[in-house]
Amino acid sequence: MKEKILIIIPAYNEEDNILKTYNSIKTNKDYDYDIIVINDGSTDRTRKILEENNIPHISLIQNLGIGGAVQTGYKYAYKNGYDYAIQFDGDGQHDINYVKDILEPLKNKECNMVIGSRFIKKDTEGFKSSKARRLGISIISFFIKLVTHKKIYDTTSGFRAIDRNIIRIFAFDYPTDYPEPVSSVNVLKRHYTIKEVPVVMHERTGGTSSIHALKNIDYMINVILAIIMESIKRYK
Amino acid sequence: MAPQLKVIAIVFLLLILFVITMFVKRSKISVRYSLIWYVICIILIALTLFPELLGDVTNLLKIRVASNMIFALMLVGLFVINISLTIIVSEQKEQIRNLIQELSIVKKKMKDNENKGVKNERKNTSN
Repeated sequence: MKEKILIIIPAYNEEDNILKTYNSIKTNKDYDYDIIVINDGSTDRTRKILEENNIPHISLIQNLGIGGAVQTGYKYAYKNGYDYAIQFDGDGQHDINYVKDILEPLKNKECNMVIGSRFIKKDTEGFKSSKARRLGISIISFFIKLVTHKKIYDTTSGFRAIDRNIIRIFAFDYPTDYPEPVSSVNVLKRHYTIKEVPVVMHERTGGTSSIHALKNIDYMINVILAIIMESIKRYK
Repeated sequence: MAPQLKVIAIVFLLLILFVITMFVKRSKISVRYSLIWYVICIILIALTLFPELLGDVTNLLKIRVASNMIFALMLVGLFVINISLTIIVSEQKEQIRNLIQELSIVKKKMKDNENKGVKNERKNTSN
């Protein structure tokens, strides 16, 4: 029986990129994935573009942020019985050619979640983000290792794939703030496994990122506290 | 400030931290809203242990008894938390209002579709 795979594309004010991103997946003949765009209360022409081009989407009546938007996708995946769900950014930073790489460990039942990592091979090309941001990412990585004993190299990568077990968890329990690092802690604390796979990401071509300045100390303190708080939760 | 009072204050603050932690652990308080409690309590514990950190503020405010300063700070802390809660509640009220309105509109749409369906059925059966 063929496995059902869903690509979830969260989008907030991505009028410049969303059609390009969607087409890059649709025209890629290697794949036959379902796609759902989650329009997180965009105030620009994103919704119009989605409707005019018949792109399958869910328009949230209010902005929830990346965590809430992606969780909507996971709820949808759970309710429609998908076997795997992939988070794919709507701004063009993620590359469709790597989707099969992040799916492979899941299909081989090697782990429950795969993170597409920019930092796993030292010499990979592609966009690796600013020095300051990389420092922030490595600090976050240290704290995740501290509470889960697992070293994750690309802690803020939104390019990830999960299996049914994790879909069921995330559909009902997904962090609204700092979802990428905190959800990794959530998964590991529930004794599920994560693997990282090297990918190449592109620089943002249009629009603005919703994470301003990872250099911000305030952000760092909040993420670290959130990671520690998540790690003390008791899971049934 | 009398050392007994310092001890009582710190034990009390640690108790608050413990209670908040227990609630977070059982997912009764979300991580996001627990952070402000942690920040306020830790600042208060630090200032109780090291009143020197306040510098001349106690003198400038003409507070004679150091313990009054701690109580004053606790009150300030509570005000801060209450104001942030008021903001959160206001935002949520707004969101709930919006949800009620949108949901009601969706219900009407569904009812209209149902009625359309019933009308079509009647048309078909009458033929």
